Amino acid sequence: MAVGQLALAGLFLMIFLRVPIGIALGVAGALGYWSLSGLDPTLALLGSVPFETALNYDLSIIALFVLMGNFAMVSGMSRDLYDMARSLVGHWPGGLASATIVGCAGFAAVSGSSLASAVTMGRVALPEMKRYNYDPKLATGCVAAGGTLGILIPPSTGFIIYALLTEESIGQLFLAGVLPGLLLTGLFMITIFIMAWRDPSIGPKASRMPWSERLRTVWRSTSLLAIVAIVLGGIYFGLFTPVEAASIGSLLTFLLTVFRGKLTRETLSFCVLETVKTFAFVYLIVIGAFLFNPFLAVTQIPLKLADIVTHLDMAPLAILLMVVFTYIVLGTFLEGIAMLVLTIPIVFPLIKSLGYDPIWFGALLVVVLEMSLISPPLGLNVFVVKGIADGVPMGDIFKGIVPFWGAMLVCAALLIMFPEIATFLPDTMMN
Amino acid sequence: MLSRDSALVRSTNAAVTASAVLAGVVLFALMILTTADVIGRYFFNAPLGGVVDLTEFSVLLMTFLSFAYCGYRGAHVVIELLYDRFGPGPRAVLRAAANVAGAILFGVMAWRLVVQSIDVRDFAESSQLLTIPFWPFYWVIAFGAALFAWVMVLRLFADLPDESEDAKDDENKKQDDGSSVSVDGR
Repeated sequence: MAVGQLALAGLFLMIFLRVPIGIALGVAGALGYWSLSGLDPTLALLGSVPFETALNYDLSIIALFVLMGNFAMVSGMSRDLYDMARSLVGHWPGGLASATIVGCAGFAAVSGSSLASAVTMGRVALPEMKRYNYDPKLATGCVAAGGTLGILIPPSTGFIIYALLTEESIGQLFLAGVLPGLLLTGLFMITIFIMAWRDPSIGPKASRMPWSERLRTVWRSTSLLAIVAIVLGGIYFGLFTPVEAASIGSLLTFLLTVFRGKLTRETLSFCVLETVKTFAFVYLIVIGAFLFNPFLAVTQIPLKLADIVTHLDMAPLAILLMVVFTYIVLGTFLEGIAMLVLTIPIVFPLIKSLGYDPIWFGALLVVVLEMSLISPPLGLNVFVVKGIADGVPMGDIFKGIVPFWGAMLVCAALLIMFPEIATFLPDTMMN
Repeated sequence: MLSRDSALVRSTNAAVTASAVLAGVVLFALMILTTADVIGRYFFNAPLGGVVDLTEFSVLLMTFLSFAYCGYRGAHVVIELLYDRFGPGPRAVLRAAANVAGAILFGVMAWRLVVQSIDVRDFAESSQLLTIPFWPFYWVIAFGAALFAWVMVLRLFADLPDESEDAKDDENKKQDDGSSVSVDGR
């Protein structure tokens, strides 16, 4: 036990001192395993775990969906999505901000990454909101918050990592994210509506679009919406596996890019290298996690923790709320995927022993991860938005985020009160 | 510090980029193969055999052929909570220590994968459907791990890109120009 705690402490120390997370996990795991089981088993572990971990059918989904998101980015779809949303809701109070949220939700359905969603939609939406004199706090806040929908609305890197670590079904987890994603989209829009209604100066109404214009913008987005429908519909109706859905989705997005004349030497090389770089760092963390987990299993820390907590004589709900609260706090200084990899092996046995549905917990966890993406001091989405919103101070962006953070808290509470929001689609999906 | 124009850095750059492009080609092949399998299954009642095996092998290749490129670009997820509190000197030491740790981990991994490949060949381990032997893949991923370890060693004495440090430099430049407002009064 003492070695286990020492290695955990060492792991966190390394991570906070800027050792790449995958390497820190591998080093802490190897050293810990060495001290508990000896040198030869550790060397055997290093010679077998990398092969066994990477020889994984489901792991291909990450690379395929990253590629799909990158093609969606260069194909100009984000512009179409934003134009559609703007023509539909732009004339509401704070309408351009609401349109940003809708655009982000749409882009989230082809991208598994929150950062990509925030960057892509931010580049389109921020100049437009600036033109209409939107309060910079509202403008940057809605891009940062809307971007987080990327990991809740499938495809989602968060769900894939959760599935790999818990051996739950990726298809079910994807579907579990759909309704909470739509709910959160709605909550964000209500938040904007209330804010702009109380103080109309922060989000002036844009001009109302005629119906002909609305039909035109909706038509331009149909190809994208069709791809989303094929990918998610195929998974829901059991027509293909998530891996097949990811392949078909990325191929269709690629063809759309070609068809629109957006495929050049530059965009192709950008898409391929950017995709390789992104999945490399995710895969490195996964390999590190699978080097660390055998050691964690030997220490029996997860089992002992679950044992202690279940004998605490507390209501399961109280324990669950403690877990969620811990994640919110951890989220203020840990990156999302790192947080999953570091905590799931410890927390998951506990949640299961309390009798909670693992698919539902996955959805709840991803909502909490979204909060971490915009929490100071290390909310990654905020840094991304800062990079594209010229001249808006970090402090203002964080102020702009507070109402959206509240909306996420409401979403998490609703998920706890009504688990069916997450479980309905996975429970009715066809196999 | 070795500059980015030196022959050693240039040839490393060429090697990691070639390896990354290969990973990208595998990804494209996987995308087309899987889609063809689905089309074959639904429209011609003739699925391709063994796509699961090939998917697993492609993940294996993509993973290990991509690590070195990511390491070369300095694109790993890092958290700078405590690191940020140190001055430039200790920071350089911490970065070097992280590179040494990565080089040792992946160096040992490469060595053990090669050792393991002998056992795997002797036991004739192979994939389930297509019975493709495993042992050559141990060599490929050992190569990927070794290339990554080499990039970590090279980082110790060559000026390689570092995405989070470079972003900070850009930020500082902007502030020096006065074209950007300071972050939280800092």
